[in-house]
Amino acid sequence: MTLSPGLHAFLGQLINGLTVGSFYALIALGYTMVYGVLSMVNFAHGDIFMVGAYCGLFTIGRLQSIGYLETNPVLAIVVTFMVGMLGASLTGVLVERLAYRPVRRAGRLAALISAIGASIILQESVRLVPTIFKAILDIKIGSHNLFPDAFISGLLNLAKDFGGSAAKTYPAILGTGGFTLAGVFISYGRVLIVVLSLIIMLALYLLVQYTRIGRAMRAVSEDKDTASLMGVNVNRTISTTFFIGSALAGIAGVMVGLFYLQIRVDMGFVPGIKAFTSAVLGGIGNIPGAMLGGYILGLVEVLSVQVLPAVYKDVVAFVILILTLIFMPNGLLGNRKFLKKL
Amino acid sequence: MALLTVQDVHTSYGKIRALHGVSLVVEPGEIVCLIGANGAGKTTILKTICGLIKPSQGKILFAGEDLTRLPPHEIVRRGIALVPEGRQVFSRMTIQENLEMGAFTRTNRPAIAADIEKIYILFPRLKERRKQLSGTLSGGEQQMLAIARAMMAQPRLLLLDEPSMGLSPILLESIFATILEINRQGITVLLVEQNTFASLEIAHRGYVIQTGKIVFDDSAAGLKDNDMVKKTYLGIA
Ligand SMILES: Nc1ncnc2c1ncn2[C@@H]1O[C@H](COP(=O)(O)OP(=O)(O)OP(=O)(O)O)[C@@H](O)[C@H]1O
Ligand SMILES: [Mg+2]
Repeated sequence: MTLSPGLHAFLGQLINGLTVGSFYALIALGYTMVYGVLSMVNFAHGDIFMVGAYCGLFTIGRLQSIGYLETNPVLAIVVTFMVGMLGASLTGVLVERLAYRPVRRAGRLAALISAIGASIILQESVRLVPTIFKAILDIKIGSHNLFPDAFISGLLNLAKDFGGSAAKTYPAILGTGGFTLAGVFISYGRVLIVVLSLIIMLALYLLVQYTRIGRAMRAVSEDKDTASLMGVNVNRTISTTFFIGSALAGIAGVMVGLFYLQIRVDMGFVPGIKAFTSAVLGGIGNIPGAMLGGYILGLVEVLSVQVLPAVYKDVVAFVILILTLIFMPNGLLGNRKFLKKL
Repeated sequence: MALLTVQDVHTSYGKIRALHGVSLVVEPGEIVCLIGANGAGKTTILKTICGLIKPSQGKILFAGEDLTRLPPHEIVRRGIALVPEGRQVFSRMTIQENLEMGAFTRTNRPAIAADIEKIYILFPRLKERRKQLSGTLSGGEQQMLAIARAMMAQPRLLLLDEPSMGLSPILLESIFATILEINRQGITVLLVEQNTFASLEIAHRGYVIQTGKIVFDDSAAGLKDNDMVKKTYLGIA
């Protein structure tokens, strides 16, 4: 079958949009879940995504250096996702505990400032990891190093993947393989990302709708006092929400690393804002809305490249954000109630 | 032994002091009502009992156990359920889900399902609408749901904060009949009501609260005969 060149390019962009949309949707879910339970925008969420990417890189780097990535790539990737997820989750829980809980009753502005502070601290902490390691290792007693040389080189080697100002690189494990459908090439990497994202999102939806913890999350997001009267431990439910939302960001971080290869400590900023846009577009606080918003934004963005110069790509997201806030602040699926809280 | 003992409780909202040393006792099996004007502190007493606000001074004992330092989600496990003022059903959950939330502390699924069926026999209107979002219910139906949800926790003590607020006289009667029925099943009730007349009809005893202090207490019959209660709360000159 042959397609006209225009349609051919369009289909290619569609696949691209679904891939990018998956990243946005996964990250947007964290914004929307946290907004649901705390009515605040977690501006450190993009950085939690970044921490996930670095934890994944650290893991896959170690697995590569012991040769495990070659001998058992599937398991190695699974382990990488698990560690990236867990690293992001624990970071998210810690951020809530240290930066948001103490100011929970202090108003919106305090929470916002605390979130921006948390974002800066996360980025700088990751950036400084190698520097801190070096400083510790350079401790000398007289003219002798405190630590033996082998220990020093071992630790430095460990720290080299984690953090620093320069971009770091994932091993190109996804490869360039793929298949052709109706004349359009689709790489296995994209299939992995889109399918995995959809499975994870379905699992999240089922968790929120049909499990005890999901019901607790919905109750807390609607009314904390009444939820606690039902026997829900509100603080623990908020921690769980951060854990799950951050896990999704961690998965997205590992995916971005595997797919684009390069990661940086400031990589969370632009995807963070775009995912936030997705959440607002779908209706912040609404879980299916965040998924929908993510895919719509991903598709609109790649399709805009067809008609506009590529440098405008990022502008498209911001225009959507502003238009949504002006004309449709509840978003596509949003609940009217959330608007009053904003 | 008393089921609930509130001992010299002081509660403040920031700098605003709402309760100035409230003491009261509820015996097992009783319906006790709490009478007072707007702003007297009735809601504050109920919130303090179930842990939503912590008293700055005083003690709350339930079946001999000190609840004063426990968070609300632990207190409901001890057997105290509150039907809050203004109902506060989860409007974005279905009726069925609201009832399941009421049973959040329980783990025996078949028993929960059986209790929900019992609730539906008691409130057939809720059964017809079980899959509907609670926000779409009428005020009276929401009040029924709020009471039913509290019952799902299998409380030993039920606290009701103005259950008749905004209801028509007919619904009011059915709410009071429901409270009596709940009490007959062995559940102790502490009732806050603006409708003093109706609540003294079903209560065994009552306390009168004025600006954060209990001013006196008596049997329901005694309160109905009291000149001050007649004048201030029953509107009889
Ligand atoms: N969240 C709050 N912040 C500050 N003050 C409050 C708060 N809630 C209640 N108060 C004050 O505490 C006092 C007691 O209020 P409470 O709600 O307990 O009264 P109430 O007897 O339940 O009144 P009503 O019959 O109107 O429901 C009032 O003076 C009220 O203004
Ligand atoms: Mg009140």
